[in-house]
Amino acid sequence: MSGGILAMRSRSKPDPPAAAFLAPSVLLQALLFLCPLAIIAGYSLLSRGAYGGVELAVSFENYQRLFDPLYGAILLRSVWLASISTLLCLVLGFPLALFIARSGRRKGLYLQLVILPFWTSFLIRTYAWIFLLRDTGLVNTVLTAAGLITQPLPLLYNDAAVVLGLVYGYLPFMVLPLYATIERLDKSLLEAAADLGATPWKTLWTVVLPLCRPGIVAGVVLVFIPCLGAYLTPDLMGGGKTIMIGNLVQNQFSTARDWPFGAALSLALMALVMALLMAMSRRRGGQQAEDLL
Amino acid sequence: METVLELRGVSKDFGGDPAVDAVSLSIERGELHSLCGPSGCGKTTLLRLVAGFEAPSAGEIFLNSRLINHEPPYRRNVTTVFQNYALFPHMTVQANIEFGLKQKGVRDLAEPVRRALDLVQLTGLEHRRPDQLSGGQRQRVAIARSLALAPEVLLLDEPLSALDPNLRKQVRQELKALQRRVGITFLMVTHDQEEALSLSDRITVLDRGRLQQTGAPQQIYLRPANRFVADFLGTVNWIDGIGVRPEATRISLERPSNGARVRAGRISASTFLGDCIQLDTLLDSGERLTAQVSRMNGAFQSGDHVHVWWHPGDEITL
Repeated sequence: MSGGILAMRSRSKPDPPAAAFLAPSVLLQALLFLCPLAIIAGYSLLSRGAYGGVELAVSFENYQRLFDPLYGAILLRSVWLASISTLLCLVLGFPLALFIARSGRRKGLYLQLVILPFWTSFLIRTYAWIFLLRDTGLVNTVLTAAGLITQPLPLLYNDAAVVLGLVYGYLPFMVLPLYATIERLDKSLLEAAADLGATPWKTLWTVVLPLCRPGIVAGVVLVFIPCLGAYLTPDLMGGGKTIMIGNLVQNQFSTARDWPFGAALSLALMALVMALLMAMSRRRGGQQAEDLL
Repeated sequence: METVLELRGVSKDFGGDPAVDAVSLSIERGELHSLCGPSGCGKTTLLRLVAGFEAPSAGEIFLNSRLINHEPPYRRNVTTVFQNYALFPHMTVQANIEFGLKQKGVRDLAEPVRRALDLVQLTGLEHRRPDQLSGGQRQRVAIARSLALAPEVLLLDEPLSALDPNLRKQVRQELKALQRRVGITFLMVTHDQEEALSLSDRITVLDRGRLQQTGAPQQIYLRPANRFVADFLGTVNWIDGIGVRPEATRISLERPSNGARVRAGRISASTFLGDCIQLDTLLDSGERLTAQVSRMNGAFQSGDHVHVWWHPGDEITL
């Protein structure tokens, strides 16, 4: 199932039409992904320029600085916030995916609704949250007017707000692969479980969840990675207080004007993500999850 | 005989024509009962109503004289062998069989699992996964998994249809022997009349959701209640409202003198079927009639003038 034919072909010499089809994307990848990546790798080994940019003096200092406890704390915090967000996406996304997979003819409609937020920009949607949650926002205004609170609730500019923003933004990436696996689940297995005496709850834990493992792994990967590198959401909804590794990278290229350190940070983040991915694909279900992605 | 399962006026419609239409049926303890009929006759729906996967639109279902209409499948003491077996692919053979026992709260699993595997002769395959088994082995695991719970009734949905034809005949006899050994009531769905006739203690024939006839194989084959049942269970030659099965139809050159009913005609085709020969005849009255005769009966050629005859006792009268 893992695209065996394509994989086999690519190992031998591609025939001329295949090469022609591959050329544009290979070129694009080389030009827009590998070249910039090489530049970043190069920059990470150079020294900081006085007004941004780099100076041509080779140094490993940027990598040594990664181990500064200050940055370690930010990294840990990023992993923590990304993990919480991913877990919440899973907890919220699984029942939703289950519901959609079981809604018969309305499946299409519900899937459209899940994808609907993508019709507008993520930035605009994040601002919408700010308008809802800030001290003078809709929620606080209504609650105050209703006499339920006297002081506005601190709904924005904290960790909870960042997690909310991340969960909101990446929930569809969890729901879609989960839906795909649940949908493919053989219904007779659920009937067999009930037939053998398992309550619906027991069936969920012993049959549905284990068989949806590839979808869960795929969803977790799809949500965790962008959450880990998020910078827009913590920047806008966390205020200046909640800094994640994405913001740290961005700062190096803007206010801090330390391009080499920014480059080293980006590469470190990439290495971390790749290590996590490799660890996942080694486990059972990882291969199936890759197929799903 | 004691009734274990009783259906009273059970109907099910999914919006449109009823899939099951006012069926009343009693299943006796310890019998092997087949639900038989062409596809779309409602036999599988009937099975699913008993299992609890569907709720009846009307009527009552009793298990051991207790109304179970509103009991979910996991509270009914009936188990199902699914057409595709529905083994849990993420569990070993052993875990599949343990599954139901665990739900029941059985503490010591080893002994019942061993007994179930022993019953279907799969000892030694405990640690295989379903995808490491052959079709026949999967079927036996499915049966063992369901039998391990000692259900009041074991429901089997076309249990032999996924096996290859050679294996099917052998497994048929094994299934019957197994049923006799465990003494559990089997309610089996099949579209294969030969399978139903050879296996069952009693057969219920369904057509378009309605019960046509219930009875022992011989009874419904030889004394069908209506034309549908007669035709479904095998070929019938219909002449002047009387039915004669091809194997009861004889052919000879000389006119028989033994009180048989005789028609004159000609052989229109002779087909070698291996264990017998099928002779198609065109009667002088213009009707066509098929006979299956033994090879030992002598050879007939197309165009031969023959006498087609049968004993009145072999007639199917409706």
